[in-house]
Amino acid sequence: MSQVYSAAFKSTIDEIKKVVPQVSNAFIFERNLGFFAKDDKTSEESVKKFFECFSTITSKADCLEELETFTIQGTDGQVNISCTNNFCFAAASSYEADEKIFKTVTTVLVPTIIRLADQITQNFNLQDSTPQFNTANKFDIEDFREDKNETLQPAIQQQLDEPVAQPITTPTVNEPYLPEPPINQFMVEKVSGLMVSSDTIRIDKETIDGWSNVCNGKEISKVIIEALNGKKANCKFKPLKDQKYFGKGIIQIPEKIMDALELSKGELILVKPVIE
Amino acid sequence: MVKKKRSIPGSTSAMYFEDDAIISSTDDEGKTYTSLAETLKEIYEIDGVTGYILRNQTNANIDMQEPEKITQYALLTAKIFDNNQTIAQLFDIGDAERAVIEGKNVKALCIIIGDNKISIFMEKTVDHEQIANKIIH
Repeated sequence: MSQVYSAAFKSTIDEIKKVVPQVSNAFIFERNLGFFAKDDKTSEESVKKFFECFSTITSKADCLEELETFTIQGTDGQVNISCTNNFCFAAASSYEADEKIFKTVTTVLVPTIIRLADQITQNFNLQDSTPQFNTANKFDIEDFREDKNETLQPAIQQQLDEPVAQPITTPTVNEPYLPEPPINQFMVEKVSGLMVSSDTIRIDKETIDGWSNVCNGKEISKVIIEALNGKKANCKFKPLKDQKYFGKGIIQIPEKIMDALELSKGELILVKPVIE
Repeated sequence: MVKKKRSIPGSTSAMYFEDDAIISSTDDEGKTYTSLAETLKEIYEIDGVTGYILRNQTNANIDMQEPEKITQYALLTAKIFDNNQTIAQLFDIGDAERAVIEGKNVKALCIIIGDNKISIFMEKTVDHEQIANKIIH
């Protein structure tokens, strides 16, 4: 996860606690539960337990189409969770907090900062395009997967022998400038079936459109997917078909590619378009 | 001491009581449930309210404009009730009394009164605070 997010969110949380001192705990996390930034008072253990409860609830929230806010009111205070794009902001506060300011912070300011951070990482060239994982605050996504006992099949040599990536050429005077391709992180879901092509992955159409916009209409017919273990593959891609995966940071990968990269369902991978 | 037999609506077997105190407590719970059921019927008539689920250990009342969504809504609110208290304890906000979850176009209000769990589903434009006040008072 980019350091842009890490720095932006930590600063945001610290400032919120200054503006609304009645906020006792605050943290920002990614929907697929792979990243978070928290205040100093909140323990990792609390966040982890919260994730278990939250993922249990959101697993049944498809009937709401897209979860936007979730508020729990107790006898002594409340917990507010507001979700924007792939991120959610959670804050616990007493009832003494100024309601207007607190609502402005949770429903307007924080979502704006999240969208801004998303925009910065997608539309601007980053000095360091190598993905930065904030491993100190990153939970093992294995803990929240349903199929913990899934065994991995042996890697297929044919996939490993495929060329990994098209080299990105340094721009010269006679060549058009190629924009730095954006890197996106997704959670893995297996796709299978008779009509499923074994060399084609499926990604959110919104992401594909985003790439087209960033790359000024350059043709993109392949992507490079990189697992956390460092293994990469060059694949064709298509838009997701199943509506239940739209907007959830999910990538569908055929079993053959999953085996080649030693991937399991629920793992995080990076995806980078190959600009031609 | 005379043992009195009472049957609880919805239960599968009769229950025996040894004194009036237990009977009156059970009657009170039944009255609360009946009162809530009546209030929810009135709330269901409000424009924008699309359904409700009222349940306790022995009874359940459901009204839903889209019956095909009953199972999904029931599962969602069951998970909310199951996890509310844990989240409340994690962040030290006392006992969880109610929860509101909002999606793109609909929201659900979940309230606990005694042993009764109430879930009301409505469009986002509906004032859920007003509805909550009708139930509590």
